[in-house]
Amino acid sequence: MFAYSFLVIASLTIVKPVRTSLLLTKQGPETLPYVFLLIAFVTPLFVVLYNMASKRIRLNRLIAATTIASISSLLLIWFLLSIGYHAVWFIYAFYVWVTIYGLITTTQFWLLANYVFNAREAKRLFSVIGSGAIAGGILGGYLTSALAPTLHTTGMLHFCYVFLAICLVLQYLIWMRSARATYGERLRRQERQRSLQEDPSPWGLLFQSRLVVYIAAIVGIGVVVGTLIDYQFSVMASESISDSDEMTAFFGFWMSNLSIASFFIQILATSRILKSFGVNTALMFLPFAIIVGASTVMFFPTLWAASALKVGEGGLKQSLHKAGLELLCLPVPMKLKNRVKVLIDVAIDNLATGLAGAVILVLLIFDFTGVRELSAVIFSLSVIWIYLVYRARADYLNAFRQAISKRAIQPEDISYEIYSSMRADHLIGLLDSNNEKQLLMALGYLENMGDKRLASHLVRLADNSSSGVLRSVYRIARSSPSVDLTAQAYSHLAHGQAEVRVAATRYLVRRSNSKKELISGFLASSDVRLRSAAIVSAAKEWVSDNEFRASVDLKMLFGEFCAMVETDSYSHEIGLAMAEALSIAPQIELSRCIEVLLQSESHVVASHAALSAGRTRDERFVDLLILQLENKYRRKSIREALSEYGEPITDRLSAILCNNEVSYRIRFEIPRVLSMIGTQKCFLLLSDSLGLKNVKLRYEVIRALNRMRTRDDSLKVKSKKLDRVIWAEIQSYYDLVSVLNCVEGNHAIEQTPSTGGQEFVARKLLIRALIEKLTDNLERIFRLLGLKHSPKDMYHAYLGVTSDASDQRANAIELLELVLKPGMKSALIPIAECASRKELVEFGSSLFGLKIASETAGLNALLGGDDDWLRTTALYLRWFKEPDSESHDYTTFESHENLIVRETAVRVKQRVLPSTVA
Amino acid sequence: MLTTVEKVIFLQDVDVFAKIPLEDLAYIAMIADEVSAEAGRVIYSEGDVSDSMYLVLDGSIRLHRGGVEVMVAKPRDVFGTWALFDNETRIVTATSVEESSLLRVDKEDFLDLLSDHSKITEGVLKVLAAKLRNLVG
Repeated sequence: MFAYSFLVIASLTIVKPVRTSLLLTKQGPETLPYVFLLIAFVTPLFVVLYNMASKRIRLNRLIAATTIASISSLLLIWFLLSIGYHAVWFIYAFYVWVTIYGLITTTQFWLLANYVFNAREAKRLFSVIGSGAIAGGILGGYLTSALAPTLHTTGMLHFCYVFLAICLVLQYLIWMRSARATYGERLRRQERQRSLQEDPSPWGLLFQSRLVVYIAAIVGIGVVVGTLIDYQFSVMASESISDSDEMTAFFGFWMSNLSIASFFIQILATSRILKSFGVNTALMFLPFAIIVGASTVMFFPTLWAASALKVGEGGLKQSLHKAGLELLCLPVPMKLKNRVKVLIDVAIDNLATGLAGAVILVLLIFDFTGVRELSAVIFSLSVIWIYLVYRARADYLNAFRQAISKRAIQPEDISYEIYSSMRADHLIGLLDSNNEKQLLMALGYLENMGDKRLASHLVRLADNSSSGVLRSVYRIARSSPSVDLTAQAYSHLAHGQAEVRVAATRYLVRRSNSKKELISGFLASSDVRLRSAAIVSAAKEWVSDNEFRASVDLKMLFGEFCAMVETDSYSHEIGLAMAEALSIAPQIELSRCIEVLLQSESHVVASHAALSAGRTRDERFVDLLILQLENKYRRKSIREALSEYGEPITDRLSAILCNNEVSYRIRFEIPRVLSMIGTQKCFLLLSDSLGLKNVKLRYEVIRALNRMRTRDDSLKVKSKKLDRVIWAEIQSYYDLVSVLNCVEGNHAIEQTPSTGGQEFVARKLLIRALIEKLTDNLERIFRLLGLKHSPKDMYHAYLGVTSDASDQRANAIELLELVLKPGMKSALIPIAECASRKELVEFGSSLFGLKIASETAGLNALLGGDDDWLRTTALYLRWFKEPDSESHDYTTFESHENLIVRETAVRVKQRVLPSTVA
Repeated sequence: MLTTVEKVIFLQDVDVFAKIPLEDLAYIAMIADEVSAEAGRVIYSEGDVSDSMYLVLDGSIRLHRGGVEVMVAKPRDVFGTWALFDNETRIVTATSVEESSLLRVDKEDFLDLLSDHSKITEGVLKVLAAKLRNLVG
């Protein structure tokens, strides 16, 4: 694809100077406006025809046909030019043909790329392919500049058709190797989607959003100004250069320079300008640069000045301006954006070219086409252009507001950091919003940016009804001495929301000169809600304000409340406040108080107390905390609390995880706690537990390891040991497939529930259970592979392997081929390729020597396996399959630890051996 | 008296449980009680608090509203499913047509189960999301 993009753009950069120099030398620059008008009328017709053809002809055939037609056209053009045929219509047609050729070949290239790469590959590779195009642009231009004087203008066309012929071969190879498989599938998908969608007129859509209208206007005026600059450049070039070969070389040289300028602006300046100045100002760079350039041309009407203007305009347009427009489109709803993009790219572009032609004609009529006059027109239009960008600013902000409240913007979808490109002005504007989400976002970002203007808005915002906003306001006001919210804070001490009361109390304490006295006063209040807020505020201030910490002894301050807790004479509010306060500012000396709160009946109080216990790292709490892992309402805080202890308790936790005597629920939570501690030791302890027989526990261990590895890729596991575990999982997969194959075989014989009876139902149940287990098994394999290789890659490979889409599966297989070692690759690829059950069984047999030849053997394997659910469903099937057999030993299962296994075994025995049970 | 496995066999056909793995469905089976209703017994009335979902094991249940029959639930049919998910009152009356046997899933027990078994929650959400997608698309 790189070579394809390189050659397409190189051929285009060669043919463009050829057509321009031919038109200028054979017909004169005054014919340019007519050609522009012709382009405006003819190009849309070709686009419509092309669209109609694309609906009827398969993409590969269409691309091949247009490429062959282009090569033939180029050969014909070369032939006619070489025999000296320079008819007016022919030169005009050649000029228009090049425009259409450029539009269609580039469109076709990206269309093909769309079928070759999936979204993930596209993100990774499109920039590489884009650089191929830039390199092609540079080479094409310099080749023209260097060789046109020797090979002559006509001779340059040899390069174009040779390049295109190579493209034809490349297109075939790309299609056969990469695009063919996905094309049919996507086509069907698109057809389905198309049939579901109504297709309103895109022109109507354009006017659905004012921002879109401005974007279209900015693009349109950009094309008009660009065409005028092109015209001026062409006129000045034709006045200075008369020889067509020399002119071709001249245009080629400047086109290369334009590509280089565009490349450097993109690499060095685009991101910085967008970050420093924001989208709107960045979009003003191009018209402003044109104003400077046009003024220079006005005062120094030389070819060099016009060339500099042309290079500056082209270079900025392809880089900074393009990126700015992309960002300006960001808040436009995706659906609308997709629909109007084609309209703007094709229709507006052509209309504007035609309009530019009309403008030049009008100027010609009034004899207003001197260099200075034209520069004045370019200057004036650029001023209008800047005005349009300025006007778009308000609509951009509004569209942003809407997109933010609808959460329609995903920062990862864009190429620039969104918030750095949003100016503080926009955020200040959002402070007038009535939307809570917008206000909170603006407050948060302005606070981080340290914008001084924020302070002046705080007094007004302190009357806001949202508790979230009030909390933010007091938080910001605490570090803004110039703002006085004392009156508001006193009124908020009685606010309905505890968080607001705490925020107001903290604000008052922070501003007070006698902090200790003030907080003591609040703590002694008769209002229990204020006392509670004061307890939490005191803890928060104690942690965050050194001055407060130095002046206050928290144990003394909380003494009265601790006594209340320890003697069990506290209210819920005080208990909650004390638990929260001690979780914020843990005091080991108050451990008795924490212990009492930890055993509170209130889950909220106990959860806060757990956090407090964890933060003290007092080992006396560990057993109590572990026991409370059984309680689902407290589990989250307990996990956090245990993780606070860090490495000193990891061996203890690991021992619990592997201890069959401990409650399953407690063991189930341990991997997560270890993952939260997150050290290399925890990683190794967890990987040592990968051999746990209980599948659900093993899955939890794997998940915990995945979480840790995703957070910190420096964590290492013993590779050989991990390989053994992965192989065991793969073998287990093949084992299950083998059993499934036997059970499915018998299922197919019976056909229906009426002929198969209860046995049919039982077998169907087992089949579903086996299929579900296979899915779980595959997930475990890929999760384990994520510990060995890139977790992200393995996650995508898993999604691909389990996807119904063949292109995604093919990508996943390709990735596995690249990443896995030969042995593991050969075991996993058949699974990923969804080989038939029979093939998998044969393969598993050759790989692991599996010998499950019958359903009975399969059932026995399941009954003796590690999975309780499969054991249950196998037991249940055997009940109906072999009702008369007395040879089965049910005793083992009657006393099984799993309730459902036990229950099923008892019932089976009742049925098979009723007299024994009786 | 059904075993847990047998209850699973019935429950796997319930629309809203279709995406829950069988092993996790067994937890729902464990909270599902078998209840019997003699002919003519009103299981619940229009306007009652919705507190459980029912699956017909045997017999038939007539669902009617203001005297108009809405449907007759036969073996393996489910009624009152949405009681598990909202607090709206019953919109129909359910009356046993004949001696019937039912499987009853209590809302409180079910919600308790959801908080402990993420696969059950995931399965229910998948079904609801698919229904929503069908409505929208």
